[in-house]
Amino acid sequence: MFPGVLRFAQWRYLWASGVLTLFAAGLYTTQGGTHPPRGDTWQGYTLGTVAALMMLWLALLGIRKRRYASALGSVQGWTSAHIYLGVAVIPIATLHCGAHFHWNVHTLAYSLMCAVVISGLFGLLVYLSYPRQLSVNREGGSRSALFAELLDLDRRGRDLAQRCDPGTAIAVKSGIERTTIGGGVLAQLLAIDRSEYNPGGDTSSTNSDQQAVIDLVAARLPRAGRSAEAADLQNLLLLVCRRQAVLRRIRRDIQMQGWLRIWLYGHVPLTFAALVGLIVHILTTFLYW
Amino acid sequence: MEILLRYVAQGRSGDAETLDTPLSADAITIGSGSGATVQLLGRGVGGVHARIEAAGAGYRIICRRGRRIEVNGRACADSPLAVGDTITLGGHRLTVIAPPAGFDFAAEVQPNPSITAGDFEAAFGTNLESTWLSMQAMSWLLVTLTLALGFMIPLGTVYLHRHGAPSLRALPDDAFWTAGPLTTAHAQAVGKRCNACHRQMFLPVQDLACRECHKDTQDHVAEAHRDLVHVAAANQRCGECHAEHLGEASRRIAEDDHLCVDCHADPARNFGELHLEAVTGFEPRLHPGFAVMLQKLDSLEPPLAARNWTSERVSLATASERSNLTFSHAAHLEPSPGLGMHCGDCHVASADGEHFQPQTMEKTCATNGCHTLNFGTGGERQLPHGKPQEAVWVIEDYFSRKYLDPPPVSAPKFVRRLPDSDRLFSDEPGPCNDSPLQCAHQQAKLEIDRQFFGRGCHLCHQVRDNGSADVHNRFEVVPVRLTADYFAHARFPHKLHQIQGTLTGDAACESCHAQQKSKDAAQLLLPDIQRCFDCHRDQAGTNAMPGGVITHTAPAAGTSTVPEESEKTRSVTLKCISCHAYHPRASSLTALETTKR
Repeated sequence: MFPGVLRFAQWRYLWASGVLTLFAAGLYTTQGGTHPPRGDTWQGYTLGTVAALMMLWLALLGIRKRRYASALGSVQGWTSAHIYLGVAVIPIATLHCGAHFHWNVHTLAYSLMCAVVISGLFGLLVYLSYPRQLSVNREGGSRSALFAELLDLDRRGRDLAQRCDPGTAIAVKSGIERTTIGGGVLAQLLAIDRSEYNPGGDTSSTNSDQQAVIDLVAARLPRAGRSAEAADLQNLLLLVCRRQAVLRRIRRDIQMQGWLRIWLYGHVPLTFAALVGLIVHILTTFLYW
Repeated sequence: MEILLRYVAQGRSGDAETLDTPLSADAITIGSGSGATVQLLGRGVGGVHARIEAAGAGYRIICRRGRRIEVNGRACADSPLAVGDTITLGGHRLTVIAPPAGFDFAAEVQPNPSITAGDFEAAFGTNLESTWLSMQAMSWLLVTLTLALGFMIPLGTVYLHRHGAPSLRALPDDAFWTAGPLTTAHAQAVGKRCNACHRQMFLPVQDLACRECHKDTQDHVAEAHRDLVHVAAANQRCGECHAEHLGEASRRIAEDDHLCVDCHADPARNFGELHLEAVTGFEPRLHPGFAVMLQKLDSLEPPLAARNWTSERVSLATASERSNLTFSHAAHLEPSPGLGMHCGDCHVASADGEHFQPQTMEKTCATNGCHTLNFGTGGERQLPHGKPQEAVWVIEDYFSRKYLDPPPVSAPKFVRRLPDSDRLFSDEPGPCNDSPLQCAHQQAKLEIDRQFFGRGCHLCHQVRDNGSADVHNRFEVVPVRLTADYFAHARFPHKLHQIQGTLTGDAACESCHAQQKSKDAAQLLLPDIQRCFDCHRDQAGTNAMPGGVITHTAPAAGTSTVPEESEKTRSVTLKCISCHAYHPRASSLTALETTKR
């Protein structure tokens, strides 16, 4: 979708934002006279008004994309314009203020606006790269299918473990029960695996990537006393290895989905803060005229 | 406590199979999380849903906040447990059984066999929405912080400041609203007190705030003329030209000629009653000729001491000096056998590079032994300058002592004879056969006449003799006042003109001032505007530079010199404010008032 979004209508909004930026730069250069270019000349006010209106319009994407029945342009077109005009708002706002940055509420508003754009660009970057990787990771399937397979593997694993010696049974069963998937923000984004298992007694050991349980079953296999036990252990080993592969895919899927969403947790709140910062900027400009 | 968990599941044969798991723990946690003692998957099961712990002699199950369970079919969040009680949660069953020997607590766990993949997935935190992250909460947090730190708290400090209270420590005050740094002077003067200038909200800074400090700055349009000026610029605020919050860049002022020409191009329409001449640029025919500010006594009728000096602005073409001084530049500047003085001997530049230090008898005329007011044998007595009556007393005193108490005869002391010395000491008293008192009176009278009408005052001053019998009140010297600034409205940097092309020193002065041949102090010796046009225009173009023009022939008194074509080069451009100050000095305001009258 996103390459299409970028190329929408033959790069219409790239051209539009380029022309708008050039117009702004041209207007900026007309600020001759005694003092350096700044926001309180008529050119500065014009550029500021344009930038403010752009910020308001950019924020409207959040409303537009939820109104499925709206005929006011396609969401793809809105998104394309959102991206290009969102980038253009930084040079226009910079020209508005004449690049005068100080420790004040005006620079705070500018910084919030830049943070919104930068978070948006990060979102664009992950949307350009992760969807394909997601599809490859799932092998065309869905996350639900992966969890269904894991559930089945867990049931079969418990059954098989039940038929093995108590030590193996407790280790495999506890390994299944104490498998962690996802979790907190960092655990999802960094695919942190804090799985554990009970190797015997009341202790718990790390079972990251299920390797400890695999090693335990593999070590038990040569010591199987009966052929039936050996067959069960063989099947159990295959099962825990398959389980390891499925868990890896699930964790990677959760991780990529997390990165596809996490930028919005910055972009959306920062957008509201930037809009409030914009209002405060305008208000205080005229409050202390 | 020692715990036994007995998991019951259906085996492949259809029979129930059990798996005992002994463990030691302080409590049993029930939930879908991997850290739970009893892990039960499915929707409606929290990561840590409930906790079984010892309570007195028995045990209790306590749910996490917002979570519920069923104990023996009754929904509750907290319940005591006894052997035989059944806990139901998400289709899972957990039954309290009698603990075998060696165990404190035992339970039989029957997981829900109909858990679906969806239920299974829901047991884990697989998306960011299931974490503490919340767009709504973060949005509110950032919005609140921005609003509080950027507006509400600074707004509160405005009211604190108005009541004399200081800003709150570590919190932003209204200085956080600043558009940028102040100029150093304003920063030192007002610091972070925004309300020193911003008196009213939503109103630009008013001139009243500026005038509290800039008391001496005059309006371009005097208060008395406001009603006579019919352009909006007459009522401009200070801030419309003087920007702030741009750091030192704020100190720059408007230099565009349009600032002036827009109004002064059509004075008849804009301020006709002030009778100003039109100015549209600094080119011949675009700029009026010079007018000078002269001073004169309002009357020369006695008593002169009661007369006042007035200023008047007159065209340079018709102006003549009314200083009442008798002076010949030519006599002073004439090379040997004359005095051979230089311009700088009398005209000493002041620190502003624009004007000259005031010339006085003591500092200018009497310096280096020139024009001393000595008299008497050997010139040992000094007449007071500017005090005719005292001068008479000194002369009378001198001759009284000379005849009534003559000193012993001795060889006259050698005295260096300077400009007036030949005349000063040539009139030694002749023989007198009358009484010493009469001789003293006669000689004093002769000397008084000589000093007031001969070799003394009369050389530089106009002396009025009212014929009074009382010699002490008989003479009046017409007061002298030298004009310090002929162009009170304008600025002329003499310092920048002391080297003009190849001309330096007196030659540079003479390129504009024709003092060499001036024998009359009434001559102004000021160049007319054409002389300026020789070097300056308001736009870069072909014009003469003084070096190419003046080295060969000294120009006539303040007249224009026409350069040879080959000597032409680019002119030095001037803006209106190069010579004119937008804010007039107090002196020029006085002049305007005089002109108006």
